[in-house]
Amino acid sequence: MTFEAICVKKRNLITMLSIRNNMARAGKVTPPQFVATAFGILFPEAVNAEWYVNAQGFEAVFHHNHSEMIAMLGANGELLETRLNMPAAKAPAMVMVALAPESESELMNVIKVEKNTETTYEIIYRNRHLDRFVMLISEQGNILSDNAL
Amino acid sequence: MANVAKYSTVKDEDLVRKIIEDHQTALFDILYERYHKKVADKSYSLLKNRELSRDAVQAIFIRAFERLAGFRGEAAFSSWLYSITYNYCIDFLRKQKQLHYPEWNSLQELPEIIDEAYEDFGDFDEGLFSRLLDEIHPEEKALLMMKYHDDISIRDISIALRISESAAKMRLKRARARLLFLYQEKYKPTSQE
Repeated sequence: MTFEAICVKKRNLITMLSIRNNMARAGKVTPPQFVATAFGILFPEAVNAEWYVNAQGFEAVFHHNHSEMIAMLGANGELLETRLNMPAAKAPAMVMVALAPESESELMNVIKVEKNTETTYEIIYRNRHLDRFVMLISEQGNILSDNAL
Repeated sequence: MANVAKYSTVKDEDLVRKIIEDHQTALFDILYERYHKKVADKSYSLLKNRELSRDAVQAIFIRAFERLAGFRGEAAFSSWLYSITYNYCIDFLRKQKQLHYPEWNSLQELPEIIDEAYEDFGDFDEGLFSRLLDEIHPEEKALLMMKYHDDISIRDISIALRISESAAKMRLKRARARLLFLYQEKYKPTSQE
């Protein structure tokens, strides 16, 4: 093994240690007890909740029934919004209809967003040149926004 | 060259400012010297090919130089440069069509979500951890490296990988779950061992 290869291997191990240790320490944001309680009532099946603090309140990223989900809760523990990751194959038909005019496009990611009483879908798709876009679609199939990523 | 040596202890962000405002482009050599090995390591860990990663280093530094005026100093220069590195490597793999994350993910659906309360990443030895990272998809590996090694913000991760912030958070969660699942499935010593 050359000296350069030994150095690369050593640097790689240091990187691995750093990732491992930081992953072990991650997710240590703790919401107030009443927020955690409200979350537990809303999502009793939640696994591995990781909390973030943002301007609206608290955000939990977690697994729920084998899907990734994000719940945003206000400072008083009220549910503001949920985001559910969906397999592209299970995207609602109107998502595919909205995407149809984009010839040879491919659906890469679908997130169902529920806020107040409204449901929208945030999708990521790529065109035939592999350029990527994020599109927001209403439950009625209307395209609310379509921006390059 | 002597002029460049004078700046060898100057902070990255100050060097960038001098390059942009005073047009001292030769100072970019210092940034190259400081970071080219780290950029090469990151590129290699994703591309898994020495020649491709050498080419990647050149392309990444050219891209960084061209975009230097857009560096606003909101994050450290190193984080900004590493974001370009991950963006370049993932885009390269996507364009080579070697990388199709949704398809891979649907084929590798996790049959079980391991509760992190019962496993501690800190218990994994670094060799095993390295092996586990090589078994997951490069996009998931890049996410973990960006978040947990380079401390790049979710916003910058989403820009670099060209996904939404929500998708970045969810994929990070999935990457952690996949590592734990792989560990339990393939590498965790059984009680008889």
